[in-house]
Amino acid sequence: MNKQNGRDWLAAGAHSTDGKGKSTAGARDILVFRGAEYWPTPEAVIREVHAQGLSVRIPRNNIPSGLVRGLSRIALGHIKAVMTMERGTEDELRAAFAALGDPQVDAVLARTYEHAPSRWLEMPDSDAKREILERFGVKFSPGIFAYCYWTGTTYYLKPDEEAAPPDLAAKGVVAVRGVIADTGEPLPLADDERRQMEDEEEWIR
Amino acid sequence: MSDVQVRPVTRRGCGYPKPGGVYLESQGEVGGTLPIIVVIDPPIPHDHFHRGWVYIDLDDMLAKRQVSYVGTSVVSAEEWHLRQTYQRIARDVFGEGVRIKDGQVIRFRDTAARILVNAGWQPGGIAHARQAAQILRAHAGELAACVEITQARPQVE
Repeated sequence: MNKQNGRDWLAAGAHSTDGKGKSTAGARDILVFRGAEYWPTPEAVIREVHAQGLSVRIPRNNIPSGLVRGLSRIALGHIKAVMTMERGTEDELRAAFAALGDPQVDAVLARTYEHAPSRWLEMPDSDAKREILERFGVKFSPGIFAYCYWTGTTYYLKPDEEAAPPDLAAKGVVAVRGVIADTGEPLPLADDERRQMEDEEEWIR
Repeated sequence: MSDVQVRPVTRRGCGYPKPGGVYLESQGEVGGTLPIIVVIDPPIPHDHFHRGWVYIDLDDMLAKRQVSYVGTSVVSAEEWHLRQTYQRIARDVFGEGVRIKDGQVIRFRDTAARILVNAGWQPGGIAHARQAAQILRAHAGELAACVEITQARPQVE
């Protein structure tokens, strides 16, 4: 046995799972998708998480169990996470965009990306962009691009509430009162009440 | 007086949090020991697009593909990931209430691997895992510099 094998075993021994999504440490992991309607690219999700942390709304009648703070992970999926190229290389793709001589394109080429394929998604829309992506046979498909460590489940109180509903509190859900950071005003509820009810109906469907 | 936390929030991609809504959160951790987001490269294809959440076996998914961690959280992510692995081994060797010192995770890993190699230990099976723990306990002195006691151990009467 060499030293590398020793490391491999040490790593495998502590990270093995029971085949049902539960690690030997007893922590479960979950997957959520971030919608392209609100986050056009995986990089948009990454930027938001860096700035504000991750917050994922879930139906209140379906709270995951078996999550362990700091061990359980929330895997993040996006409908355009995986990029495939039928022709050429990524260097050639970059060169094709650079040859356009468009300052807006150059600005995207100069940006730093943690999710590399997002660069091509964030190129300004134009006939030239479509032509280049088509020429290289670039396609995007759903996949998992990142994960975050779960740190808790939160219930945002309504104005007339002082605590989380008992059924949620019993599941370890912690109540917070959200206020708008810029103004200190309570979170809007008026026409959201209706939208919220619609949302919950949608969850149930 | 209410002891409910008041949380200032800013607008997200999907707007403000909704009063009456339940949210799974990942807020990192004070001191930066817990990475805020771990980006994997390449992404893992997953065609089962869905709303809401589902349980997954993430370790299994990661193990089946040659992914690496990328992005600005990569250093803290690797350190965190390794710590989850080797902290358990440190407890097996030294007992509860012992943690690997900050910045010593990789040294602990390499030292433990070297001890096992030098002892002629071979991987495979639960019995072998117990044997590995015994070997490491016998050489605990070599690992001791990498760990610290974080709480008093219970007195045995």
